[in-house]
Amino acid sequence: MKPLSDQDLLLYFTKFKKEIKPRDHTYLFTSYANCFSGKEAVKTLTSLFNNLSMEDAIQLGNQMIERKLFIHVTHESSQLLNKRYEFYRFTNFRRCSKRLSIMNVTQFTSSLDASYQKVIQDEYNNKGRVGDIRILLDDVYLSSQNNNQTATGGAISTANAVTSNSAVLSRSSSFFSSACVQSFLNDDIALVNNQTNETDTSSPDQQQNASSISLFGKKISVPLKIRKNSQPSHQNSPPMSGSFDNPNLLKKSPRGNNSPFTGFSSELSPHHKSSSAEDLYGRKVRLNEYVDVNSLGVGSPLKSIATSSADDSSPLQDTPSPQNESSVVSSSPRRHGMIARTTSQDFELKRNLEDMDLDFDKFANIDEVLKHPKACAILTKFAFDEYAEESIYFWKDLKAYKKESRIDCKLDMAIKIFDTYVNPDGSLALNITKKQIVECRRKYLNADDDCFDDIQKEVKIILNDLLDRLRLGIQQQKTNQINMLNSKSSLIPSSTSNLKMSRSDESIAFVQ
Amino acid sequence: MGNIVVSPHDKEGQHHMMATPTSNNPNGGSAATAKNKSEITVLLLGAGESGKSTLFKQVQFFHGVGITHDQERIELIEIVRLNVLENAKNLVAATQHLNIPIEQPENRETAKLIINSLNTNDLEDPSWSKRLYSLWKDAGIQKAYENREKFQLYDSTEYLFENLDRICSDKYVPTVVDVIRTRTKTIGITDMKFDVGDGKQLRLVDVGGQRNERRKWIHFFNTVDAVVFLTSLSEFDLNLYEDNGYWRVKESLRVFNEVVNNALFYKVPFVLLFNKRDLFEKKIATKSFSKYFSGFNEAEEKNPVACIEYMTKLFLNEITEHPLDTVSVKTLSAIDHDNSKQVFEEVKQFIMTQQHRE
Repeated sequence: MKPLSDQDLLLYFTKFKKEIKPRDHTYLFTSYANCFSGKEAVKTLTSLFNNLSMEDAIQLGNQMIERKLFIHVTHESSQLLNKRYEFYRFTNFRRCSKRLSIMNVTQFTSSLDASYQKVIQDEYNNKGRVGDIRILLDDVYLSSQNNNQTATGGAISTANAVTSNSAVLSRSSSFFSSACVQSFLNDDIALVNNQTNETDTSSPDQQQNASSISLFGKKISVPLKIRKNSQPSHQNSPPMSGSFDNPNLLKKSPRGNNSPFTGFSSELSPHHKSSSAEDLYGRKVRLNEYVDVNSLGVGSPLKSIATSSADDSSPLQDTPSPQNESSVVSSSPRRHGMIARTTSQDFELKRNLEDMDLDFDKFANIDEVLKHPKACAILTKFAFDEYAEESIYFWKDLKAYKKESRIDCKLDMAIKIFDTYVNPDGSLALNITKKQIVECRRKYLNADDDCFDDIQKEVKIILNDLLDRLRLGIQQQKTNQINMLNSKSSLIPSSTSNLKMSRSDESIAFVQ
Repeated sequence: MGNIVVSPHDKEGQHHMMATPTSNNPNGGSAATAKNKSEITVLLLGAGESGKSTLFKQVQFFHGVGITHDQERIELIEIVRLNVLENAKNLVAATQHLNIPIEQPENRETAKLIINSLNTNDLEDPSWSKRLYSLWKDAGIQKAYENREKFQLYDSTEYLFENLDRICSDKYVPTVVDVIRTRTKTIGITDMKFDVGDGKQLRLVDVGGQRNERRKWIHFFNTVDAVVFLTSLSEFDLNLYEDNGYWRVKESLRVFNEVVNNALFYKVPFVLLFNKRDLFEKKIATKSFSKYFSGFNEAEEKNPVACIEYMTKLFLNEITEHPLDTVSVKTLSAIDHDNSKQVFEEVKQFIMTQQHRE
């Protein structure tokens, strides 16, 4: 039997869960509450789907176990064993369903929500399946997916038909009875899980339903919101901030103009502009810019990109939007061409070079660099220029991931990290071995803190190497440039052409 | 919307991402080449661990850039020591993996320390030199080393362990040879420029060779004036770093095929360098070459020239599109300074004459 998609598996599981009756089992003087034996499970599976052979049934069960839909009571086996005295129990369904279908749930839009809510509510009133809303939702969602959303309407109409047929009384009573049963079986953990937060369903009235659904609605919207909030803190990390929509912008724009060294060349532009207007004012502005830049704690040479794009807007602007930057790429070189440089600018340059050097000598190791916002920004820019940005992004995302405490967000992040960095087809695949990937694939869905630890070690080595390269590069560039500045005093074009590293060539080409 | 609606967009976005560098570069790149034809961009390509960075470092060195100064090499102590540790760890792990016990009990203690707690700063202590050396000389480790094709190990292991007494001291400054023999996985793309006379500048671009790194190559494909493709001769018994279980030669051939038959390179001079000749000659003395190549005459397997000829044929067979007269094949031993200098001069000459012909 081939591996099923989450959606399909969930369908099977829904049926399976409805069919099988967990109860208390005793074996070797130990009783296990609310579980079912492996034999029962296999029997149920084969009888439910009559085209299933025994082996297929076991494999299907194994897939469910793999997704932790149900587990062995004593965690002794990760396989479904066709035996009388191997017991399994259902896990907390809310968590598993998150695990399974998180992508779909988080991607629900508000417009769809309304219709779904209606369907759910109807179905819910009709059958009183409190805890299974999630399954139901996935059912409905799946059907709508298959039939290109026309089925949604169908589902609603059928649901409506059912509701109109069955009397209001009957549904409330059926619901009530289930609640009664539940109160009798106090030790029934699985049912409690099923019934989720709203277990105190002693008053099964309409309001209660509404509240549970609205609560559910909140649950859906939460991950979306979080993603939005996390955007600013992730500016440099495209994958997590959901800017996947147009990665080309992200890829392209910062590249043109942002090695720490080109920073200088573009930085000149505002000065030129102001000095051509009125000197005094211009200088003032520039000073302010520097103060702001430094107090911001972002590398001043790098900062220059922001300042150059922020001629008219405030220099405090943290990172310019991609569009802004791309416009700078094209416009700044032209400005260079127009304006002659003064010695004071040379001085600024020199100061900046020394400043940068200071920054990197005081850091003992890569951790400190990454903690320091300014140094980290420089390193990121450098990595970007060297086409090695994925390691830093991974590091940042992993840090955010480890801080995250909500299980659903965490899982969401784990999936994203895996898809972007670990998966060899990901947009920012890391340079790691297949063994590490396989290892990681095995455990990332558990969303544990340590599931990316091996890769993190590898990435740390990479980052160390990158830092060494940056240090060497800075040293070389610095000596080159200081020599250059000392030896010559005029024309920009020749000097700017030396102010570059690798990828800035494109923008420099215009100058020449 | 549900994922049905989003996923096509995502895909489109990815396509865009693949497309942008190529569509972006002509603006910057071709303008650059048109304006300053004085710059020749040479790409160093090849699969992982084929010696691209080694050659790059050699070229850097004999052009007096980078590692020439003591000051700059001091920065690299960490990397050399990390190499030693990595090698030691890999060897110890291999002894467990291959079920070859380390024989001396004190060496076993050392091995435990290496796996668990040792870091590069500890290597400043000269006592480690002795301990690591005795571990290296342990019969178990040596046996594992003989079977090194079964796991991942750097080529410079032997060199590093033989030089432990220098490396494990607080006054250690890496020599140029040390730096050249250390292995670092290149991430991303680095480049270097130097003058080659006639007012021309040669820009040498070094890239990473592992699978995920190869997708970054495309950023440079449009602006390239010559390609140097490196492949390791001594990899015939090895498997890939990124996928242990995939034969390196197969991967090299695949990458070579992709690169050489790329439409962007039709008019570009192409140099195929067979690297690590020194290692190769050592290796075929002890290992069977014909075991890995069914079409190879077994009687000739101890003759390096015949083996290299065979490999050359194997690679040239991959060329389907590229005109053969602009392809040059050379052998190289990148860790040998004189040899790499000579070969690089030849390569440079070849590229320059090809440029002239255009």
